[in-house]
Amino acid sequence: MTEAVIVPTALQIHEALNAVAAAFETAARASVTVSTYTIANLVVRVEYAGEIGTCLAPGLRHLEAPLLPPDLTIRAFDSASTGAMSPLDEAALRALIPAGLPGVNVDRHIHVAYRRPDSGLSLLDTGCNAAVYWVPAAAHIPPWERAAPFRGIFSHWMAIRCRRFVHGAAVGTAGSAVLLVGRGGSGKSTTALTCLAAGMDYGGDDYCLVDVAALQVFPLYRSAKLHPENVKRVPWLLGEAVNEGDAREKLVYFPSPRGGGAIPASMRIAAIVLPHVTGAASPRLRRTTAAAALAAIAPTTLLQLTYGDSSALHDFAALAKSVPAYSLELGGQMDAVPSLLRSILGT
Amino acid sequence: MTETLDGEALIVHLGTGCYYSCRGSGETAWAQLLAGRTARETASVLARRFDAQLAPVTKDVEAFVAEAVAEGLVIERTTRADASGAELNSVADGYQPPAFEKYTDMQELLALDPVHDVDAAQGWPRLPGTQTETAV
Repeated sequence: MTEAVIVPTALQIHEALNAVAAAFETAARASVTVSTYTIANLVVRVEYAGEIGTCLAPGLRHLEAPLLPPDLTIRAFDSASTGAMSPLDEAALRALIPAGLPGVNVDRHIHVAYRRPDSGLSLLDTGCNAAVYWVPAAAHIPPWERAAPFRGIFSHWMAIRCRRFVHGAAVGTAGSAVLLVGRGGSGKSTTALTCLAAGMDYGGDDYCLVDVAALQVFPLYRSAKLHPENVKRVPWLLGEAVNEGDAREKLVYFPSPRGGGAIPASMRIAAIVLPHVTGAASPRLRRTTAAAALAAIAPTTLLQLTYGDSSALHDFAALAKSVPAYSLELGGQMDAVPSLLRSILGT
Repeated sequence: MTETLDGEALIVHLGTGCYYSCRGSGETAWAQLLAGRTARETASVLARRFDAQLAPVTKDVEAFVAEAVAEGLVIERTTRADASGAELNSVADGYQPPAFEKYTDMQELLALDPVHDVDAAQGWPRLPGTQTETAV
């Protein structure tokens, strides 16, 4: 027999949002630093109370912009460094997030995401374009959250503005890019970092934002994650991981563009590339189908989001139909990959 | 969620973390089910489309539907739905029994309820008393 899912009331959700917002005001009495970012042609203001800025700001630093009227305001804090009480106790958090759902509840304007306890509680009010993000202790935010801050907030808020979160990397040149897509372990990161090292423009390793109608990709996070055994393929990153010594996790890096490359504000999507590791002596490109591209983009992206947006798959299908798709067979000679991808871009 | 491209249907089950593809007769059968047709009606469409014998096709479609129900991709109705016209893609090959290709490689992302099941101290995706590599 299926258990009935008890969904919290709108009043409970509003009370939770008010509690978290009030806790931020307490936290902000000690210290607040404010940063403004331009992300996908939108302005996001983040107010960091306490030590949380030290942990999360590096992941967005490349997007910093002059102070402008924000399209979205995020208030981020932790309890340990600010002394602000946890805004919701254990029982309230369990009541807020029905069992069996991926930590999400959506009530008209308010979107909630929570993955206990270190990845934080996100509450987004799309009615007033304000969000609050809380963790128990900033010092305990895991490396993969520091690499990609506010994912739950950005993925939902940006989707409303026709910017789709995509689990994938983007590299390009002269204003055009290829999207590198596929599940973890397919070689996206190694490919993206090899291209960055070769002086190509870099749109991110793990996640990027895509405007499907305009065929534009927007960088979001500068970070890259590699399994320790793959670092030898990008030797210039040796010793640069922010979480060296943690054998359980992927290594997290914040690489900078090299050799004349940049992190552009946007690039036009010219193709979708599906890397996969083979035993080939040298890398090779083959045309593949739009269906294969969709299968590479959609499941891994949709299953990492904290909400079920039924239109997302339709948008990904439209993207897959709009540009050519290639299978990139990876083996030895990674240094041959950038020229292969440049050939798609016509440069 | 489901979309069809190049004669291949992709289905993503957000509840289980599994995703499926079906091609050829499978894609045709899936389109008919989405359009509200019964298993028998779907079998008739496939038999005509692929110039195959109705009886074995009916048996194959019933098995296909049973699998779709078991996987939680469709729900059986007790009342008849209004069947709309389902666009038929061009036939490429001869008849093969409709089938789903199931992929479970993403399932680990949803294996644990991130609030109610995980270790309270370590957080998702770790169960109490375990230390596992991060899934994402």
